[in-house]
Parts: sequence; C-alpha cells; structure tokens
Amino acid sequence: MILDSFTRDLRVGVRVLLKDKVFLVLSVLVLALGIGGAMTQFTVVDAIVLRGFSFPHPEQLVNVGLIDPKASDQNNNFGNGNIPAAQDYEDIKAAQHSFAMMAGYLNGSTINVTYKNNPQRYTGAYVTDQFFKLIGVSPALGRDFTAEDNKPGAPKTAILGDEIWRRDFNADPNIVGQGVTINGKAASIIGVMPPGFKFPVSEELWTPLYNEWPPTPRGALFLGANSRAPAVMGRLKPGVTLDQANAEVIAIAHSIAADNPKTNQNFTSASVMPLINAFTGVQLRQIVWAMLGAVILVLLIACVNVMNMQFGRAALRAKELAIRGALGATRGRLVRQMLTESLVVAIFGAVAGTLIAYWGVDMFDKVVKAAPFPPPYWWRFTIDGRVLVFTLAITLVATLVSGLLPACLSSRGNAAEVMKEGGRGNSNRLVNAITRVLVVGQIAFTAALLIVATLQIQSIRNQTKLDYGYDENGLYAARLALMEGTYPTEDSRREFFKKAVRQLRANPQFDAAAMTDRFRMTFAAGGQYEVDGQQYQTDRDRPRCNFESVSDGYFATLGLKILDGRDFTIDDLDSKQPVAIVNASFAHEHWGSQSALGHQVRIFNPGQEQPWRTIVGVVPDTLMQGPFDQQKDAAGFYMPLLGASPATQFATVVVRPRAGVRADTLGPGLSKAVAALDSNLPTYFPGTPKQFHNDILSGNRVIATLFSIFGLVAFILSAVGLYGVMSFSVNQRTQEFGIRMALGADAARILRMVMSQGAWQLAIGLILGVGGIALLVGVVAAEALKNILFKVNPLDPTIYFTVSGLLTLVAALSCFLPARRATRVDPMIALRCE
Amino acid sequence: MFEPLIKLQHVERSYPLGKQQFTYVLRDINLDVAEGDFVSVMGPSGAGKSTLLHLLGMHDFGWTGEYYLDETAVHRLKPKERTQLRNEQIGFVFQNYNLLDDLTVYENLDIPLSYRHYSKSERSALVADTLDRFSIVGKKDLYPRQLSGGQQQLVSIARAIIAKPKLILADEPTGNLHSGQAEDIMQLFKKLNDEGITIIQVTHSETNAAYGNKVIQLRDGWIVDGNRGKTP
Repeated sequence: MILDSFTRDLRVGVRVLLKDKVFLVLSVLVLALGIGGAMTQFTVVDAIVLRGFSFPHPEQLVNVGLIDPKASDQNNNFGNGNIPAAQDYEDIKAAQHSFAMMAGYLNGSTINVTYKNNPQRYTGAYVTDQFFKLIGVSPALGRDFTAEDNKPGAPKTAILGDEIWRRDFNADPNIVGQGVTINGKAASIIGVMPPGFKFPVSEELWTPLYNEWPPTPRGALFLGANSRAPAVMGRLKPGVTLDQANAEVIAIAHSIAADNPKTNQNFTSASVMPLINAFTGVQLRQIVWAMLGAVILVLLIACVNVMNMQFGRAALRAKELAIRGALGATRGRLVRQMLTESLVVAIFGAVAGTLIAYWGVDMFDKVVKAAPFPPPYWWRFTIDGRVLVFTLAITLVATLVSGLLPACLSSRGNAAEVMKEGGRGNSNRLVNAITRVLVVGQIAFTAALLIVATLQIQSIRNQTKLDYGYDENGLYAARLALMEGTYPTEDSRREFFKKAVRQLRANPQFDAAAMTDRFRMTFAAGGQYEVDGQQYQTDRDRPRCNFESVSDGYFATLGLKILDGRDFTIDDLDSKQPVAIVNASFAHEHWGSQSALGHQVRIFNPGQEQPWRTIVGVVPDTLMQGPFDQQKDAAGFYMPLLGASPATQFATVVVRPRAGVRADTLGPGLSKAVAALDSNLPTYFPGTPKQFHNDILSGNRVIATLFSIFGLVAFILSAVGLYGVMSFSVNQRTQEFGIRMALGADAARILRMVMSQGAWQLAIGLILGVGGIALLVGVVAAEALKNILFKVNPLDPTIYFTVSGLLTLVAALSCFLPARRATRVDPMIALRCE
Repeated sequence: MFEPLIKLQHVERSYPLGKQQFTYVLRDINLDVAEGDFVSVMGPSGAGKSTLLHLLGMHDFGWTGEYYLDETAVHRLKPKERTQLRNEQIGFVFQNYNLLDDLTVYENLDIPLSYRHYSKSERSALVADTLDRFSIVGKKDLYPRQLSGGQQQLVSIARAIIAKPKLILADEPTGNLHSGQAEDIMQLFKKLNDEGITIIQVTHSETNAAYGNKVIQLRDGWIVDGNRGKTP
C-alpha cells in the first residue's frame, strides 16, 4: 500500500516538476553544486582519514615513539614521538610484550642504484627484516628480507617496487638474483613487490636498514638528511589494546631514561598510536575535516535555497493542497507527497552532483599526484561504496532539510480559506518569517566561509610573496648523495665536495658555485644551541635556531654581502678551529649593536658534546626554513660544510649563471658537470629555489583554491537565495503595493520599503556571520590557526570589511531588482491580482 | 424517532478583530438535515453560506456549538477523527471544480480512493464503474484543461461520489456554467439525491434551489428562514 502510494506520488511528482522547469533546473543545479562538493571532499576525507590501509588487520598496526612530556607538540613529532637512536628501538623491542612484531625504517630516503651501468636515484626505504611481514605483504617475485640480510656486513640485498621493475628493469622475470650496485656497493635483487605497492609513503625500493646503517650509539649527532634514527612501527598482538601498549611502552621509556640519563632523561613518556596517524598528521586531518565542514555548510546553504524555492512553490500550490485535503488527504499524506517531490529533486541533484564529484575527484587526484611530494600511495581518491553511502545519506538529508519545513507548513493551510474563489494561498506570516530567517542564516554562513577563504588566500599569498633574502630565480640547485660504497670515508666525501666546488667554479657556464646541506634550498636543520657566557639552568632553557652547513663562497653565490668579518675558507676545519657565521638576527638577538665576532656558539647535544665555534662573520638573514615558520624567529648560524666533522653525505650544489643566462636553463650543464666528476653519481631534486618553494607550497595552494571555490559557490548561492526571497516577497505583496500606490505612495517610498527589508536581513546576517567567525578564529581556534595561517592576523579588519562590503553590494543588487519591479506595479492590475 | 443526518445546535463562528472583539460570521445556528434531504443554502454575499458549508465539511475547526453527523458528535472529535469521519461520509463539489490540473481524469477520480485505503484493484474497479456511470470513459486520459467547464464539473461530481459518501456538499456547483450545462448538472444532483444521497448546496439561483426540498436563508450569519421547503 505504502509502496503503491509512493509510486503514485513519485509519478505525479516527476510530472509536476517537469511542468515547473525553472524550479527544477535551478534547484537541481543548486543541490548538484552542494552534493557534488560534499561528495568530492568526503572522497578526500575517505582517502586520507577513513579508509586506511588495506593490509590484514590494519587496526593492529601502530606507530611507536618516545615522548618528552615537557617539549612542544612539534618537537614531539606532532604527538607521534621520536626514536632518538636505533638503540632505543632495539631496547623497546627487547623489553616489550604487546607487539607480535616490530620494525624500524627510514623512509623517503635516497637510494642510488646502478643497473647495467645506468645510475638512478630512487626514493626508497631502509627497513629492518620484519618490515613486510609486519604489514602482511609478501613480494610477488622472489623472497622477503631475513634477519641475516639485515646484519651489518652481510651481502647487500634489495627488493624492487613493481613500477620501477617494469620501467627500469624491463620487467625482467629473471631479475631475482641479478646484481646491481646500491649506494656504491655490490648488491643483489631478491624480490619484487606486488603491483601498486609503495610503502610506507611512496617508496619504490627497499634495502635492509642495519646492513646500510649499522645501529649507532645513543647521543651521536646526525643533522638533517644524515639522520639514522629509524621510525618504528609495530603490530599489536591480538587482544592487546592501544592503552595497554601505551602503558607498557611508557614504562619501558622510564626504564631507558633511568638507565641512560645523559641521552634519554627527557624521554620519559611514549606514544603508541594507529600507524595511519603517523602519515596523516593532526594538522592535515584537521584541515580535511574543516574542509568537509565547509562543504557541508555550502550544501546546507544550497538546501536553504531550495527550501526557499519550495516555500514559493508551496504558496502557489496552496489550492492544490487544499483540494487534496478536502478530498481526504491527511496532513501526513500531503507532507509525504511534497517530500516525494523534494526527494525527486534531491535525487536529480545527487545524480548531477555525482558527475561533478567524479570530475572534481579526478581533478584533485591529478593535482595531488603531480605535486612534488607525492602523497602516500594508499591515498586513493576514488568514489567507492563508502562515498556512495555518504551521498545517499546527504541526499536524504537534503530532501528533509529542503522539503520538510515547506511541506509541513504548507500542508497546514486553512482549506476553507484557500478554496474560496479568490483565496490567495497560505503564504502566512510564519512562512515569510522563516524564509527571512533562512536568508539571514545564508548570509551569516556565507560571510563566515568567505572570511575563512580570504584568510587562506591571504596566507598563501604571504607565503608566495616572501622575501627569501636572495634572488630565488637567479640560482639553480640539485642534490647529491655520497654513499658509503663509493665514498666510504669522511675524507673521501670531503675531497669530492671540494673537488666538485672547484670544478664547477671553473666551468664557464657558471658564474659562481657553492654547496649547502639545506634540503632543496628550503629546509635547514634546526635545534637547541648555547652561546658563550650564558648560563642555562636546565636543558630546556637553551634557545632554538636554524643551522646550515655551507661551503665557502655560498653567500657570494646567493648574492649576499658579508656584513661583518669574513666568509668561510677551505681551511676552516672543525678538527683545527671550529668556526661559525651567524646571521644578522642571531647577532642582534645576542649582542645587539655590538659585534658578534669572536663570540662562541655551539649546537646543544646532550649525548655528544659539540665543539664551541668561534664566530668569524655576520651575514644578512635568509629564510632558512623556506616558506615555513618553524622557529620563533629568523635567527640562525652557519657552519663550514667542507671542513665539517663528521662530513655530510648529502649536499645541495648551488650554481649561478653567467650574466644574461637564465638560471632554469642550467640543469643539463650541471648534470653533465657532476657526471664528469663521478659518472655513477646521479643528481636529483634539480631546479631553481623559486621552483622548490612553489612545489612545496602546492598543497597549500590546493587547499586555498578549494576554500576559494567553496566561498564562491556559497556566495553565488546566497545571492540567488536573497534574490529569490525578495522576489517572492515582492510577488506576494503586489496587491499591497498597488493599494499603497493607489493611496499615494511614490516609487521611491516603495523602493525604500523593499530595500529596507533586505537591509535588515543583511545587517543581522553580517553581524552573526562576521561576529561568529571572528569569535571562532580569534578565540576558540586561535591556537590551531597559528599552524595553518602564515603571517595572517585572523582578525584582520581589512578582510572583515572587504567581505562585508562585497556581500552588501551583492545583497543590494539582489534586493534592488525585485524592489524596482515593485515600483512598476500598475495599481489597477495589482488590485485585481489574486 | 429517526435522528437527522446532520444536527447543528447553537453553532457560532467568529473571527477575532482585536482585544476581546470578534466579528461573527455565523450566529446561533440550529439546523436539522434529514438523510435524503436536498438542501439549498441561500443568502446575499457575506451571509455565511460558504462558511456554513465548510463547517459542515469539517474544513473549519474554529467554531463553537454542537454538530452531530450521523449521530457522531463532531464537536467532540479530534482533528484526525474528524478527517476520518469526513472521508467516510462526505463528498465535495466546488463552483470552480477544483480538479487537480496535473492529474488526468482517471487520476482525479482515483485520488479520493487512494486517501481511503482502497486496494489497487478495488480502486481500478470503482474508477472504471464511475467513468462508465458518468459516460466519461473516453475522457479518462485527458487533463482538466482539455475539458469544457461542464465536463470538468461532471468529473468533479463523479469524484465527489466515488467513495460512496452519504452527504454531498456543493458550493455553487453551477456558478461557472452556462444555463444548459447548469441544468444537466442539477439534473444529475437530483438523480443522485433520488438514489439516496443527501445534498447540501450553496446557491444564488432560485431555479437551482427548486431542485431541492428545503431552503435555508442566511443573513448576516443568522438563519432567517430555515423551514421553507417541501417533504421529500
């Protein structure tokens, strides 16, 4: 019976809607925008937060780290914790009973491979032997690592990813057992992973961790890319909860701290959390959820628009509803009939929205995959069953939100009144009040969204317009990795770097050349330091700054003048006389207007005391952390790279072109010059600093663009909504305007009447929206926004006034058009109007 | 002693004008309508004719007094119970037909049945019978806009009686029709009344009133002559 009446309602509903094509097209478009946006964003949330790993029992996979309870969240690796040294991992592993397996790994690492005389640099991972067993994935070809493979000195082995096996190894089915050179050492391929597998992020090659990097003692200092401290993951034993595992590892952390006070005294706590959280940081999760919130808001605005249109239609259909009531339809039955029509509209909207979502997801996927830092391979932006269930849910919600109130209110009309000849429907005060409140809500939400979008845009603009302190377009850089196989000693590495700088400077293509350990000319190392003459009560009292190791001539290559003292020379050896150059901020912070020269500074490393460095120069500030703001200020100091002890393995070579030559044309010349030094040494991450910074900001740009789209859509929807309500109101009051005009009201008075109604709605909406968001960003979420917004005052009055002004302008236009129509009412026609 | 089909006692309908002030549309209405009556309600504009009709049809709930329909005390019923009683007992015919524009003739006839829990097969049979009885089988797939005024009113009456009501309430059923069509419609009402259906019509036409057996004159909300008529 119910199915029968539903089918009938559906048939009639479709017929009625097809007759009212303007309403149908408008409402379907509006809902399609809302539903499409929500679907697209939910697909992103699904991929990043909800879907997780497709390994067996992914809920048992956890990240393990030690926590310094008094350190900042950032220094505790955003809650994931740190493993300061491989020995910490070994001690935890030996003492624990919660985990069925544990594995250590260094991911996102450079692995140089030479196969058939072709050197290639891959992004790979150094892993302990249980790495693949722990996640439950086995090689498709060959075998997994064994404990024997992981031992230092054992024959070197490697497992290939499917993609590079097909691309660079010709999908050779007999690849297992074949010889290659890995990081300059002979190795054999022992397996190929299944298609599509890249883990833990986007790694394509795996080799045993300790075989490459034997466990180092606690306290050894390895700056930046030279870090040897593995990340640690574990698989919980069946039945063991996160709380139990946390409790156990915290107890172990206490014990390690007690046994090793010099290195571990601060690491008295620990964190065992779902492994997926280690790869999707809190900030990212907050952003994707916030974005989902924003699109749900857009969807709600869309629903409100349709609701307003439904109110308009209900007024026009009052007579039909009254007749149905007179013929026996109960109120519930009428509501069901109208909801069925709303459902039809929502379904059409969902179908169109799904098409928009497919397009949006495809676009998003392409943008993300084209990013210089590819996302984890297990982020698959696809519309799956979960997304479709979500779509079904929001379609039903859209049906109810857009249709229930109009259906309920219009079905309670007075049938006797409506059916009288000349009855003008049941558009009563309540409906008018509700539509006005809805428009106020729309304006409030839109103002809020536009302000958030503008803050985001301002943030990304600030990041892209930063002054780095040097000409980012005037340099070209590429990364080099000297592996132990080819460069086994510190001397051999130092000699190579010296030779490289010398030869590059002699190369006629380059006006200047230098080396730095700064990663992609963006991220320098950073940490705590000490200055001579200062007393520090506790370890935590020592300040933090940026460190960078650079060759002589680095500042000249960047076009920086030495402000005081001198540059490094190749004779500045840590073994002889450790020296440092500080930047202007650093010098000013510690010595004000006095000279910094002759003072001493050193990195603070409790496990291994670092040498005091005598300051020999002061240079201008550059942004040592690129477009990020990780330290409290720009203060930093430089150390000599060529005379460093221990010598770095990873360096960025920087060259400046001759006058009249563009820096971004130097790539082939630089590769050739490096190949002339070592034909087996690949260069990687090539580009100008400007390109690096743009690449690094691409994710932020995607977020800012998406917020802008959400804001724009909400803006359009609100304008349409306001216009619709004003238009409806004017139509309803045509007779009243006619009477007023017949009684002597002039056009200006009528115009004022209508405009003032819109003005009130706008004013209340702006107060709520602007005030609400100011409260949210200025008070409630002020702390969280500091990580998200770059050098933007969340309460910047310019932004608030601009958004308010823009909305006022559009609202004025939306009201003016219906208001002008009201002034053109012919009293004679209006008075006959039914 | 037979109870009348409709019994109104001291029924009044008023609308608030302001604080403690009311305007009365119906005043102290006392009325008996026996089963099988054909009553015409007459009076000048604003006399309360349509209000009385909608009160009898239970579209209007804001009245006071006592109203018995087929011995059921309507004034004591909850809105839902009134709707149920109305669905069981009453059919409506309107001056402007009030057919649903987006439904075909067939669907317009089907609508009252669908609100009364008839099964699909029962509905089909009743609609087919009614189409046949009113000789509009050939028009079943047409929309109201494709019919003449007289044909629309014919469908409207067919729709009113399809659920077999005891009482038909008609609000100026021939008001929009020319005299030839009006006569046909009144003949049809007469025929339905002869078959036992009680009819109450609002009309300005003495000619139409002559088809009934009783006339009620309303003026300013009062019944000024409720006994004029003849025994059926």
